[in-house]
Amino acid sequence: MPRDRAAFAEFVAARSPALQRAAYLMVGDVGLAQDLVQEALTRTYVAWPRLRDPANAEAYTRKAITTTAITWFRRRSWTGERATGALPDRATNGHADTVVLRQSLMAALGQLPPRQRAVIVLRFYEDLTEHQTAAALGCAVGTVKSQTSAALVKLRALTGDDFDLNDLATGGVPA
Amino acid sequence: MTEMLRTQLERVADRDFAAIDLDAITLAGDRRIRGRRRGVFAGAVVALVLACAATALVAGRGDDDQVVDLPDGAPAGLTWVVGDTLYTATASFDLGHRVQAYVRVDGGYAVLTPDGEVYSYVDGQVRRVGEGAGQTFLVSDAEDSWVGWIDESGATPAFVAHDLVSGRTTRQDVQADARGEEDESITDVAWFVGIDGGTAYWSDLRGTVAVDLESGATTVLSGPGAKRWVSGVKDGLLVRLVETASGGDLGSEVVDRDGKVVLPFEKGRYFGAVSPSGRWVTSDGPVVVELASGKSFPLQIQGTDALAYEWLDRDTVAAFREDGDAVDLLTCEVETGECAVVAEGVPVGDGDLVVPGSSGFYGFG
Repeated sequence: MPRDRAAFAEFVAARSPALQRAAYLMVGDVGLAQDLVQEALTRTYVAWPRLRDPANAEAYTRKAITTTAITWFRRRSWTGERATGALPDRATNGHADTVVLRQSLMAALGQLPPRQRAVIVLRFYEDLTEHQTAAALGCAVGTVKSQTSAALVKLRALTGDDFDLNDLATGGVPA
Repeated sequence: MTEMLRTQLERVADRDFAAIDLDAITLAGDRRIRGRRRGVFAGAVVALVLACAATALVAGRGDDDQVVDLPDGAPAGLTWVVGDTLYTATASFDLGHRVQAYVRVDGGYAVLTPDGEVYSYVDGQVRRVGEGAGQTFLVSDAEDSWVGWIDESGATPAFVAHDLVSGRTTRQDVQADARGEEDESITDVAWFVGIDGGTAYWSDLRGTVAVDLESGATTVLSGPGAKRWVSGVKDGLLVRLVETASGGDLGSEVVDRDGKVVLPFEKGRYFGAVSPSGRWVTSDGPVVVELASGKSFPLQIQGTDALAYEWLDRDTVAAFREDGDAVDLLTCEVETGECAVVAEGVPVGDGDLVVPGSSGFYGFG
């Protein structure tokens, strides 16, 4: 597949919104997510001729986002919402409730180690299988299983009654 | 439940994002591609795991004007740099300066630092030989002692070539444009292609030119209207890019100085480095192609993301193999295709790992 700019532009237009959302969940910052996707798409553009099938491009970009996000976390010791050290107070109803729930979930995600956070996004937001998640992370399926389990336990502890996550760690996760 | 978490994640991710800057992506991507076609790759290193033990020969830090003494005789064979340390299979050498890019020359190396300073490592000493290098790479001829770069410290970029043995420096700036930046269009860009047999090749406002470094005699190989991206030159053979009318990559071809095609373009096939004998050229795959016959010689490297990037002698080529976030460095004999791992599992990150001819491009791609 040659480096067809029109095809690449079409891919970017079609997939970048979803990729940005996933990147945001991984890093918890809109600006950083945009930088992450920009970098991942640059890698995809470089690799475009050897991706052979345009369908591979999304998997390649997702892997680039994931590995780059983990690298950035490690290199910058980026801690996102972890700086607060505590989850926001819960609201009672309405829009404010939604906002606080969002903050609460992001804060909880921000307290997960980078790889666990990526596993949560890939498995439960991107809806990838364990094999697909392992491919994106460059690790074994067994690692995905253990990281998922550990992440859910920690998420459940962090979010308390905000979210009904109980079933996730005990068999509710599709393989 | 799964749906509960997914729903919440979808709500959380429902944010406004700026539009993707496609032009910036293709610009950055093309820059990396051109770099990689010089035999380039780079990445960061979290930790270095070598296949063999390295012996540190620490020479101490050198400031700008300090000479750093190292053992006589620059290391040969496969080398790589992490940060400011040059590694071989059996030893390591503290160069005293962080390395952005480096190239092999006859009897030593030339090193580019992130702030644009150029150092030589010959006769056991590291010395500063230039500054103001604006682009992220150096050019050289591994069988000669010339090194070249573009000096962007002045109002107009200048092509600089320095002989590491004689200390002679040549400088030309009258034909370069005022920017010197890599851009989508090659028309007005200063671009140092390479040095081959005492001749420097670059692109300036005249087109692609060949300059004899001793006499200064200049030959215009192709005029400004016919300029093409040329990624490398060796033994009088140029590897150049074939593009669509809109600038999309189609592949590359090998031509001689007169523009006669030696190895024709095939859609989606890219060539890298021509061997010292002019017999071989590296290509994707990884394979090495024999120029005379066009026959491909596959290198026996497991894995899909592998690339041969530097000729160590007439028939031995250095290659890397990507595996997730790490790379293995290998040497391969072309005719048999047999390869041996020299450094294993070198992690990839953001530019600390550099191999000859390469520069600190972030992202492995």
